[in-house]
Amino acid sequence: MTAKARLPRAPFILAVALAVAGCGNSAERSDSGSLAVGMVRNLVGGISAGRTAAAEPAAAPTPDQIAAEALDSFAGPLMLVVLESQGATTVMGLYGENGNMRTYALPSEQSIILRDGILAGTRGFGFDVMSADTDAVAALILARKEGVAAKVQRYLDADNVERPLPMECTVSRGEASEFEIAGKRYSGTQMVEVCSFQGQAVGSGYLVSAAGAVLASRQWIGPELGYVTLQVLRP
Amino acid sequence: MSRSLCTALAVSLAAVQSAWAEPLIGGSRNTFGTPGLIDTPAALSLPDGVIGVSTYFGAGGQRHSFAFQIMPRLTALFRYSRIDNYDLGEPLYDRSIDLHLRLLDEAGWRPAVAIGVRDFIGSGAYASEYVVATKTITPTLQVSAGLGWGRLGSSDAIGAPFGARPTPAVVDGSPINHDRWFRGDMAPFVGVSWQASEKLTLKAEYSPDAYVEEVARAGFDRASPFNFGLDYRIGRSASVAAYYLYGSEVGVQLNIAIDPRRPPFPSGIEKTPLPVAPRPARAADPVGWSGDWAAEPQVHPAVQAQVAKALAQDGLMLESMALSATTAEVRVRNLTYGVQAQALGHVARVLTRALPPSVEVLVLTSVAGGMPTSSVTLYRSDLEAMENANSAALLQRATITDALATASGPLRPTDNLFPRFQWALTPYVEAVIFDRVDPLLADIGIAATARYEISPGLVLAGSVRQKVIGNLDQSLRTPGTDPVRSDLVSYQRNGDLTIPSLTLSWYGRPAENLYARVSFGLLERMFGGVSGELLWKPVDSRLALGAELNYVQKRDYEQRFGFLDYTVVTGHASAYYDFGGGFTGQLDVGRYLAGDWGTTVSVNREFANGWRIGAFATFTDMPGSGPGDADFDKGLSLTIPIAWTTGKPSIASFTNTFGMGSGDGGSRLSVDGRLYQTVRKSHVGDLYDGWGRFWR
Repeated sequence: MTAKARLPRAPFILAVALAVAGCGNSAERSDSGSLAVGMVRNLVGGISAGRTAAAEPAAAPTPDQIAAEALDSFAGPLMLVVLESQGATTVMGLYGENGNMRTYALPSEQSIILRDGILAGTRGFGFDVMSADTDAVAALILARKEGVAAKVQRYLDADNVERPLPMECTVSRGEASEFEIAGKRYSGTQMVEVCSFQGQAVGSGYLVSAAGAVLASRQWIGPELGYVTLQVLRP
Repeated sequence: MSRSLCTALAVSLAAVQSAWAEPLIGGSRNTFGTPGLIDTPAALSLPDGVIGVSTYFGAGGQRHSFAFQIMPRLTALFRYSRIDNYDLGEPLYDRSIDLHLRLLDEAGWRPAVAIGVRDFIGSGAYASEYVVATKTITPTLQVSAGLGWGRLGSSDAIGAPFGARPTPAVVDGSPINHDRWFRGDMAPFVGVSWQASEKLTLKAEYSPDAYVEEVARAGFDRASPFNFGLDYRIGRSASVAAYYLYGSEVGVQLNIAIDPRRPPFPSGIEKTPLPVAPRPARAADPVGWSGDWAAEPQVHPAVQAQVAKALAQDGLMLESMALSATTAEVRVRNLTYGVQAQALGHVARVLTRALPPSVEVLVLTSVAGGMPTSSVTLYRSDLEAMENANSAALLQRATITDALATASGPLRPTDNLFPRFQWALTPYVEAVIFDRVDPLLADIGIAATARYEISPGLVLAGSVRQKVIGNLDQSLRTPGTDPVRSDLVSYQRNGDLTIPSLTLSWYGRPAENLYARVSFGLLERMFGGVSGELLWKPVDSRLALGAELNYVQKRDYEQRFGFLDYTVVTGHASAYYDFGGGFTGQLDVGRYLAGDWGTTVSVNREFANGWRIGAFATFTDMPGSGPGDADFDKGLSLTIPIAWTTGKPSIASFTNTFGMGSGDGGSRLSVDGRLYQTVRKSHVGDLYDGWGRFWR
């Protein structure tokens, strides 16, 4: 058989892929973040600049140092965040607020969404929680009551469908506890939430203030992303 | 045969970047690329939707296969192959297609059963048919046994139950050889595979394939019917295999499996979108809530400028906007997101942050190719209440209508948008591989493209290419006698400052449900002229009907402004149907470029994330292009979205066609911006399928 000549378009298709190597004015998406993300990025940029300026394999800043620097350079609500699968400690700043929901942005332009302090979503991590039904567990946790409640976290699959992960969560009350960060002391009651699904169980923990606010928590995002630890720096 | 190289690159790139595909079901593929042992098949399948790429080098030649698991039970395979010393010492470069159908699954004592035809159109060098049964004895041990015809019946036959096998009517480029299927000598085959460890599988088989031509022509030494192999898995999606064949020969193989359902990052790694901003309390902004601001002429332009700027930062273009005290309509072009619902989600959230509080109704109108296509109407209170909740609940509150059926007041064009000029300078590669005459030719060069959009839907676009290095001009192929497409080689030989296309195009909406396109100029590399198209596609319809009429003249081989002495009126009536479950079909009836009349049937399997696997066939009244003839055009096509491999949103994708056609019959004009694919992404079906990304 001789060559086939249906649509002689190969070069153009490849060209699309190689556009990075080329040049032009057609870049469609501006990478400049929005104001709040930019601010958060700048403040952490400051932190890392300080780190490199300190030269050589200087010790990584302690959470206290990160917190102090962040509180200095960002006026809004802040949280200290550790993604356990990645190991690094960073901060996230308030990016948007809608009723009892708060979206916090990380310097990496990813975000973590909390509803009453309980994880309601993530964005930009590749295996995001797209949405969550948290009202039933929140009613127990914030009131520091024991009980059983339903919780649903949803994940995006490759067919662009939000796949729900329905869980049954047992909430129990633990000891009173406190922590100190950046010179400020927070105290509350530990609440433990054990959620089971498909024969598995994941545990999360919350430190809840007398006023019913989550001050610190360790929460399960999902099978790929694992756990995140959050600590209030400025409510 | 251009473009294969591109897809090969794309496929391997995707595989390397992801390494997430599921392990292959039941061991690995055989040297022909289908589920099987070494040379013989097995009654197994790839996981549904998976694409298996195999490259085999060994005694007798090379086989490069792309297997598509089109449906859970049906595997289709396209193969490039090279058989050494086939024709007077010259190798045979060939293309072939297989089908493999798993009829029965294992149940109790019953084995799985599959039936298949190998190389059933094409020159028939590998032509064979089989029925095979596979039984899992222990979790690590599988036995397959079957009966083969053709090559698989070429030694130690036990009879010919369905009569003699007729000699093919045409030696080269044979038609579908259905009169030969399961005819002639029949021989048994048997094989066993043992998974020795998590990564290592050992295989042995008895193969009746006599390698008749390879033995006679290429010095293949078939000392025994037994083959032995080992298959070693690397990661989750790749394996390498080594074989000891027929008592004297060896071969090696690389297998990669790509599962469109397992992207590296299902939810993408693009930065976080803007969150919803709820409106202030009424007491906090009485003026904004009153709606009195709508009487102030400066408010609309100021709001529009702010929205346009925010959308631009999100990779979206606000073309125009209507604003009243209670309703806002935005017409937005999506430059970034492969899934339109995600683009709409970004638009909606930007609007919650920018509009005065009294605006409750948000009309998000998608614009594609300069045409408003669909309007999604949402309530702002719903967005505020349903952020971070199940996206399906919001979809139930949305209304999707034809953009022309939406009356939300006078639209104000965004300032300083048109005329819009874009240009790009990019490298290009054009390659011919596994062609019977030119096994490997390629050019590398630079392409400059420019696009000048005079107003929405009126576009002047063109490109210029200059070869830098390459050997396409050394092609040995000879153009056909009355060529329409078969003289591609004459165009490929000219790489010096060519103009692949230069067109003036207009897109518009003549009426509700109707879309129109007119393109004029150098429409494609080989033809120039005028092309007109009309599409009927209600926003919520599974069915679309189209008509296209072109008057074109053959372009000169230099590919500048000259023309050759061939003109033709060509055009088609088309029907498109979305069957649901990811299957779409298209039927085109009309006159092709050579003046031949006929039909093209195509069926596509589409994934919501943009992967598309398709099969097509064209039959025309041109001698040699009918259903029983050699040269009818048929093949498989594959589209891979760039965003799938990178995790970053993009509207770009690779498409490759693995074609079998060779003649001038059944050729269609290749004109940019055909309407159906332009329009459908923002219609109800695709919006529903992608809605899970609304809040992404």
